[in-house]
Amino acid sequence: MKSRFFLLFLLAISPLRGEFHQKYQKWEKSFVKEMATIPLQDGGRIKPLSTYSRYVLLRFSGKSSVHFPLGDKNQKISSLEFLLDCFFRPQLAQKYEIFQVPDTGILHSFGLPVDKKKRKRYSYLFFADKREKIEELTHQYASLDEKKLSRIQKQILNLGMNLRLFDILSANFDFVRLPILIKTEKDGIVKIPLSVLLKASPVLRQWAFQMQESNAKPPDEILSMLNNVGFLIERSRYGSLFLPPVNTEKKLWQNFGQRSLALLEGKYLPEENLLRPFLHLEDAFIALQEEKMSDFYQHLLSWKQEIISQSQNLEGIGKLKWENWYYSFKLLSLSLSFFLFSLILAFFHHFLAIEKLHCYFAKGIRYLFISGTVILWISILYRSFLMGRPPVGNLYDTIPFITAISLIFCLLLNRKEVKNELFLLGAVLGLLGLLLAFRYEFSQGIDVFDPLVAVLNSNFWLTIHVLTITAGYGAGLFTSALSKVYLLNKVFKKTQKNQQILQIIYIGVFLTLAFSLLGTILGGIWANESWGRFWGWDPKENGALMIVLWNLIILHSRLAGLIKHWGLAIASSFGGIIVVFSWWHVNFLGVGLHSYGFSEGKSAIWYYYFFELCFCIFFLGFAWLKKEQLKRN
Amino acid sequence: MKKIFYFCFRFFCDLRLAVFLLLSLFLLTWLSTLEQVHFGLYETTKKYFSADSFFIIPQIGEKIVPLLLPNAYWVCLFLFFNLFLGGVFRLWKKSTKLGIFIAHCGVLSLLITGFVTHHFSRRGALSILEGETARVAKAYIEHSVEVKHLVNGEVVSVSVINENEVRKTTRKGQSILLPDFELQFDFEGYAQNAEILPLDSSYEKFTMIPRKPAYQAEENIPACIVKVSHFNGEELKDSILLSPINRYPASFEINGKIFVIAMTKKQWVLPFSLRLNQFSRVLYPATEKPKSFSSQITQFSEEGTKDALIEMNEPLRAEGITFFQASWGIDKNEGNRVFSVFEVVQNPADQWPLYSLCIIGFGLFYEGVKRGKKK
Repeated sequence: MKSRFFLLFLLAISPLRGEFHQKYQKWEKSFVKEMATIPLQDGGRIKPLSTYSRYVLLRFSGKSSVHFPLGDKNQKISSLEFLLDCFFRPQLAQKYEIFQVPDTGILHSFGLPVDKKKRKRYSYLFFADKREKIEELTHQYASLDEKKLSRIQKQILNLGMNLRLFDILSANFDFVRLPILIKTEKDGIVKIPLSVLLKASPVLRQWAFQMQESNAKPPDEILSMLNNVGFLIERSRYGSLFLPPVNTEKKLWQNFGQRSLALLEGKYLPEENLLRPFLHLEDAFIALQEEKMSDFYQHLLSWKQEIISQSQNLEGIGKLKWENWYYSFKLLSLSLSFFLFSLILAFFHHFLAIEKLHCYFAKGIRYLFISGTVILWISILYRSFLMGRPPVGNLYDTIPFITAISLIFCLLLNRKEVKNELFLLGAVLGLLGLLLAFRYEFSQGIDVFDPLVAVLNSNFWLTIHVLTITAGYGAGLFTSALSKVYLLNKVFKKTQKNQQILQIIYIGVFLTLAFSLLGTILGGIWANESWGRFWGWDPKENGALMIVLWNLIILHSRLAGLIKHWGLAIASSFGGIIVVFSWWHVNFLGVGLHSYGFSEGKSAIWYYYFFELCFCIFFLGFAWLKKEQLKRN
Repeated sequence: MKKIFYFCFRFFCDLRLAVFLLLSLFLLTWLSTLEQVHFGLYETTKKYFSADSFFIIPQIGEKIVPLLLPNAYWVCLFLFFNLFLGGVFRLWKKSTKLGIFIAHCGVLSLLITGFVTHHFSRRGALSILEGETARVAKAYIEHSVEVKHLVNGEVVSVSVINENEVRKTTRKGQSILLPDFELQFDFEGYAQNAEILPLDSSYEKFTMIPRKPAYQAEENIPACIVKVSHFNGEELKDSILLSPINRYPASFEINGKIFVIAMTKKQWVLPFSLRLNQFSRVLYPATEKPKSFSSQITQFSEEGTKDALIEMNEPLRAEGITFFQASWGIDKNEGNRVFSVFEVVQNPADQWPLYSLCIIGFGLFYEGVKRGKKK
């Protein structure tokens, strides 16, 4: 009974829910495409607006698009379209349900209604009544040490910061959207565009100077207008950095607030080229108010042309288009879907078990896997080209790279007899690795092209140390996964092929050792070059050393006869735990020079450890039983 | 005798010993990583890696792990002999295992590097204000007690007692003799980290209360209490409390001579001086993210002056000493002038890891290629 009521209730409110966006008008596709490559400065580099919008929306909602009901349908808009709404139709953007609140307890504490839907996002308007309280807490928490904040406090801080960012984004163009009014005797109240004031800034300054000299009180109308201007400038002072530096030697871009202030203060003369961006935007907004969309698009396009022509010779501008393509090609998703299809094919192959089609299925799986790997490598190299540095420089970079390395091992180390097993394993590894990459990017809301901090800013060492050590991680994970295949095969499917797999495991252990050992020593040499010590028992260093030691233990105990086939496979399967400890877990410890300072996803690691331990214990038990059996016989 | 020798040889050659040592080192590395989260890097390293104790019991947070492990220092030493006898000596004439032999030699040289660095390297921090010249580097953690003999207010001679000696003699109840000054020092108390409290309201007499070592070893404030006497039997009435937080050195008169005594960070007078001409810090535009730190310096040595640039990842190497860009700051007591801090290191084994790397790399490569061909 209750549920039926609930259903009726839902039916009754669903048109209401849709009504908010009833008037939604989609931006024209070609216009959005043009807007994607507008340059702006953020996070220490020049990036296209499309990247910026993606990063903003990931921060807000952990997704790369916005969904809302429109009439009967579900409307989906891209992050860029969302950002354009923030800029040009803020009233609409305020209604988008984009802010994620992982812990609903926060909503309770603010006295806000909680939606039962899991992973529900909330709109800006939803928080409007409690904004003051949130802002107060945000201010308070922001002044504290981040490490000392509780989980809830961190989330409130995050929410408050996100709401602030939304404010800043939607106030970006306030200087053209909100009117500057002045009372005149002739025409009553007149609206003046900011550009006119900026153009007249030398005259205004002259006049203000004279007023000050003669100690006269300026007329009230002028004072109130200037107040008005000050308010607008203040609102856009923290906005996005859209305007290239006037002096090309300087690297710092400005936003409209800073630029207007500089013009009013006389730091720059109001030359034509400096005023043009203001003029274009003013025209665009007039067109928008009159709902002449094609004019609006036209003016914004000329605004973009203006910015591009002013920033033509600046560093990093040339790669904007390429970066935009990187996201529109979605290489990683493509690669992921190849791996997925290859697995689906394998699934059908296994259950249909049609002898005649065996060869076609096997071929299909193989080619899908190989194409996925090739695409993944293209994407890694493409990113490396875009960043102008080796492919690994931050924690995100390591995920696709380590995945790609383990796939390379799958390709290079395979033997004719066990080809299919290795390709299938590769597809699983590729799928898991790429899912992790997406998960990490989406949960962190980071710009994955971020420039490097000073100590890492050395292409030589990044190439030789980081690539070697991550190759070691890749080899370790590959070996660990292959050992699982071996163990499962040994228990459930007794084939001759297994001997081949064991050989590959042995090579894998050797390669893991070689890459990790050389990578660790290289890291020590780098540390000696930048900090003056080869070894300092830093958690990341220790992690790398543990991988080396574990593989040495495996090889030496095999040689000493302490372990045999079972032991080798179980030990190298356990090696996965050590790689994961060194790769991810040490970041959670919060100490050391390599700490990346993030704390999400810790539970996932414990699940992995649990799974891995159960696996090892199960097979240890099994091996022991086998041994007992042999003894008895 | 021969039997014992043979037994020792067999013991140190044994592969199983190697596995045991590697496993111990593995556990030690893992536990020390977890332990340093709670006790700080310095304290943990001191516990896990020192020649003073043979065994350690790990402790994670409040919990004591019921496991008696050999100290990593001794594990490494045993590993060295094991590697030398088992991995190098025995493989010497087996041409089939040439790659493995070479790689083992590389690891052996790496262990030697570690040994030399642990015992014979020296490090400190040199902080210079922009435009100033400096020559004295200070240790990061270690302190020392300096005794100076004054004649007419001028320092005539100086003697130094290291914190380590103070620690040892306090524990054993021994005294330290300074024959130059004909003085005997009896340390009655020492704490690695202490709180200094006044004994009465007149703030003339103080006492020290030992505290737990700080998480960051640099934040430790050591203190010691010393009784001074002359070789002729004359004795100072009061013991002296020494700590680096004392603003002024203590002075005393004995046998008609005047001395000052103070505890400060251990000092290291470099063979040449450096002048910091300019420090620059470049940030990525519109962020607080550093892009580079660099210091332009001039080196004044006996051979003449030389300009150089010290950057992150680009240290200056001169006369066996290496200078690294370590830190920077603004000195509020000096009119907000900028200063740059260099890490100064003297390590005879500075470049040895590189040689080890080449040896190991070659060995592994050779072995890999050989096995690859076989298959």
